[in-house]
Amino acid sequence: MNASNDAMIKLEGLTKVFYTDEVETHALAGIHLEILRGEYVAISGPSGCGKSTLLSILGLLDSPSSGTYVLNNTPVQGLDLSQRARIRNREIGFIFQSFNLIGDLNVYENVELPLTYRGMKASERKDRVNAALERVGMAHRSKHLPSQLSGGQQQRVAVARALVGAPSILLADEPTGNLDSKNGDAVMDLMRELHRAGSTICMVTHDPRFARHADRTIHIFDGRVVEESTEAAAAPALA
Amino acid sequence: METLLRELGHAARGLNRSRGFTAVAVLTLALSIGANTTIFTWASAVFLDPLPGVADSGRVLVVQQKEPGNNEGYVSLSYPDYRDYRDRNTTLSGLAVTRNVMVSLESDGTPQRLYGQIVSGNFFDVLGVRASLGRTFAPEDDRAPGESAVLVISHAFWQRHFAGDANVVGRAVRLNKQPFTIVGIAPREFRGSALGMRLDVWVPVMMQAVVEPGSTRLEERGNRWLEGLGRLRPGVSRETARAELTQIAAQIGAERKTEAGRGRSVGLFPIARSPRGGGAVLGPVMLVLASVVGLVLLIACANVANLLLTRAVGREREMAVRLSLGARRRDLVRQLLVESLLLAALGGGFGVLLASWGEHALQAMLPPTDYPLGLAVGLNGRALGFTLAVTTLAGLVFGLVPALQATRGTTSGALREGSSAVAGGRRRQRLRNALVVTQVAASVLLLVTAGLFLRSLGNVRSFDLGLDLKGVGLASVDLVSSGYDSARGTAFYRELLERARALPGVESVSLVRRVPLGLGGSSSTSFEVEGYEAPKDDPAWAYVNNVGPDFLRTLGIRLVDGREFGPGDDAQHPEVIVVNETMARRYWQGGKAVGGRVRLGDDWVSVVGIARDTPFTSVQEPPGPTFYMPILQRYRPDATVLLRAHGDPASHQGALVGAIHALDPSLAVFGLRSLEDHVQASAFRQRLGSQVLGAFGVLGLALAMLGLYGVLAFSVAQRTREMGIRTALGASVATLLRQVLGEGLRLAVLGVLLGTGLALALGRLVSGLLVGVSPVDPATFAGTIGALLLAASLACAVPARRATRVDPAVALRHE
Repeated sequence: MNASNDAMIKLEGLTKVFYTDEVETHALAGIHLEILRGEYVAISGPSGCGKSTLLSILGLLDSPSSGTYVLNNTPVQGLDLSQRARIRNREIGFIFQSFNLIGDLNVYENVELPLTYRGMKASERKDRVNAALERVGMAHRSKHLPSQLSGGQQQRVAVARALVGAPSILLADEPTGNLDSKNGDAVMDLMRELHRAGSTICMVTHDPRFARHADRTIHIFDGRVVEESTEAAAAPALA
Repeated sequence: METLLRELGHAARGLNRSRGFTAVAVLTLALSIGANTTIFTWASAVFLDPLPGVADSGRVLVVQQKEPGNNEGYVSLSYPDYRDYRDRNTTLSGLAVTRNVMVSLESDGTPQRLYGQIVSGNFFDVLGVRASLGRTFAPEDDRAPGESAVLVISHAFWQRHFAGDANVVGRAVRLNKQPFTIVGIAPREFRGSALGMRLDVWVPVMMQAVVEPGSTRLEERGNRWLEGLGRLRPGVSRETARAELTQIAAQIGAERKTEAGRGRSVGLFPIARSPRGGGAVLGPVMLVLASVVGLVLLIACANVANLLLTRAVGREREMAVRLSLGARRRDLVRQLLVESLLLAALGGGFGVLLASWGEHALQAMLPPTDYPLGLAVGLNGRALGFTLAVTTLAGLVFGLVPALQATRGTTSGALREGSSAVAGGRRRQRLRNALVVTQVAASVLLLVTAGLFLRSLGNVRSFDLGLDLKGVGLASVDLVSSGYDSARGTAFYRELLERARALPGVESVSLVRRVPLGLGGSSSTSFEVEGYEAPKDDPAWAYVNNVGPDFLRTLGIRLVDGREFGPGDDAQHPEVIVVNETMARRYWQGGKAVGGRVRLGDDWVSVVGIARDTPFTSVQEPPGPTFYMPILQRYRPDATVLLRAHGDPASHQGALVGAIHALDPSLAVFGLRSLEDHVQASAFRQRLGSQVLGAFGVLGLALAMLGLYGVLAFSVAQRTREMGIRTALGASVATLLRQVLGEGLRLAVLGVLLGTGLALALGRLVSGLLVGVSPVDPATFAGTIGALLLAASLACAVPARRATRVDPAVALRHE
């Protein structure tokens, strides 16, 4: 099978320039990247290298300054806000470092939220939300507010919210950054399970221990991809 | 719907969690929406439903005449004029006439003093009012004077006095001691055709001589005493009808060559816009109040919008999360608008509660008077519909801009850990500042207007009216009810004056038919002046009042020339009058009025004195030509006793009533009050304006200052780190104070400048309601601006002080 045809994400010459008053900041300086369907990719690099900017563009939260971005064989860099919202809702699941659960909504409602933007019927939503919560082991906490949960539990709810809409790809931005090692490991195990079940995952991390879980790690420095390593190649280096 | 309910639930939960914010926003909205609903119920009773119970009252118009050259205003119709207008016009489906009267009604031996109307036979038909029991009047009741001794009573009087007895129709009663029969009960809502009054009895115009003993005016064409009420035919405009009636006036003038009908114009006015009566008193002030509460609502909306903008900063991450999950901008805007509308609905709900209290406030502010004043004010469906509309509008106005702002920023920055980036922060700050400037400007406008009304009210008290108000007490007697005829009434007056004069502490006593500056209206008449040729299009006319001996002395009106009336000016002596300065100037033009003669009807009467000008109908109007006639010479049964005595007038009331009852124990004495209180009643509009505007002005100021405080407090909180750096770099407390105070006061000064400009531009709109004060009165403007800047300094002081207390060590660790 031709790898390009099976690419979930394909970036070519992607740049991102931020303009602040009279200062130009080149956050991304010509990124070429492919992520295959079912692949688990880690993006790593030092602080300020552009990895979070890249994830924002991958998640259609931000637009590139130039270059092309093809998601699921569809160029998405020129879409309008409404089309981008639709793709975010149906194709992408986000997991954030700080969980980003909405404090006023309980666990069930937080997980349900992306489905409500899809206009799905309540009965179908209920089935999907319950399934997602079961999958992350949080069904028993569905009526709790985020403030009543530990960090690890909140992140599991965030994972449930990311996968409840059956997205094409999960984008995770330092998903363990706010967790202790035990909870961090648990979340990484959960991610691995999802990957094994067929999910495509792209995770930003600066922690080599967690990058090791991915099939492939892309190293970014000063807005460029400077190195790619597969799990097999990376493992001895980390040992 | 499911989405809406879900968002409503989320919104309710969110508001419940932010109780402080919710409480301030709901209170702000409740006060402003409550104020708007209250004023709407008042204004609605004046403009939209001035005649409760009258079908399609918008097509009922007041008909009045204006003589050419008469700048003093419109006058009423005579009965012959009315007949001509009624029979010749084609543009009105009906034309009726009315006159407000006080009568005595006796059904079980006890006379009841009631206010009612003399009306033409077609009155009820023209108004589209059907009897709730029995019948109303018919054209047959207009056939011949004295033949239709029938009356219709109000539903309220029927309940009050006859306990709703259905057999009351057909019952014989005595009206002013004459036998009458009750033929019908008016419907519950109907209060008569006098805006702002609740009338209880209606009598056919043909019974005028019974209702007003001593005068037979029906056939006097020059005696204009009736208010016309016409109903426009469908499809006919007011202007078309007015043109036709003016043409009829010209025809009447041409047919009756001696009449000054040529050049006379006819005015048709909506009930609330009538230049006389309740509409003239209430209409303009209601327009001002309606504008003012609109401003209060604007301030409140600006305030809540500011609160929402501030709240939006705290919710930026939530909005970003929602966007990242696939929400479209319109989903977020809708969600935020649901929240704003829920806030508005809560504010509107509490506002209605406040309005239910406020609807009675107008009644409490009405002047103390014997007249049955009262508007049909109520929280009806229309008022609730208005509140719903205002609430929705307010929710959209204060919610939309913050909602658009909150959903405008980029999402990725807000989602990052520890992010403090505030997308569009500077834009929002500018918007918040603009809202505060708007609030301050609106407050200046409110406070200046309130200040102008307050000064007017003070001026009414201190104005040189040409009257010495202090120490004068009033008491009215109703000789009509007791069946006094002219001879007996005159003898009663003469005896009463003597007895009252002998009471301890009394300086002087007199009588007057119409106490100046009351709500009882005025009478005017046209006449001929010896040696003065009136222009054809400007006949001589004047207000007329019947007064007793010593009238000028008792009221402290200066006698400019000649003499005033004495006890000898009675029916046995030649008829005399005293004229005021304006009349003397106008009709004797430099010559000597005293000794001049005036022809009233067929009689020539001599001018014996000139009195100083005093306002007759209103302190705002320049005095018109006026003459006084001796009441002992030209009897009127409806007089008020004026008693000037040492000390508080109230302390002499008992003795005065005793003197009256010593002459006739059965005589009803009413309207006991001081002249000062009576004159205050004429300042009703100024008092209403100053009280209501004052309250709204203070509310507006408080909201504006809350807004200013909020913006500054937020700005300081956002800049804690900056303050810490400044302190670390050696900024003194004074420097920081100056910086924050300057920031706040800059906004206040901008608002003051804008508001002052608006107040200067719009001041002329209220000039007609002001007394002795210019709409650009420098003292009022200076006082308002000073007070507002002081309040603004206080509002800025707390955040400024907080800025100086920032611990640099803590602030720099922050973030």
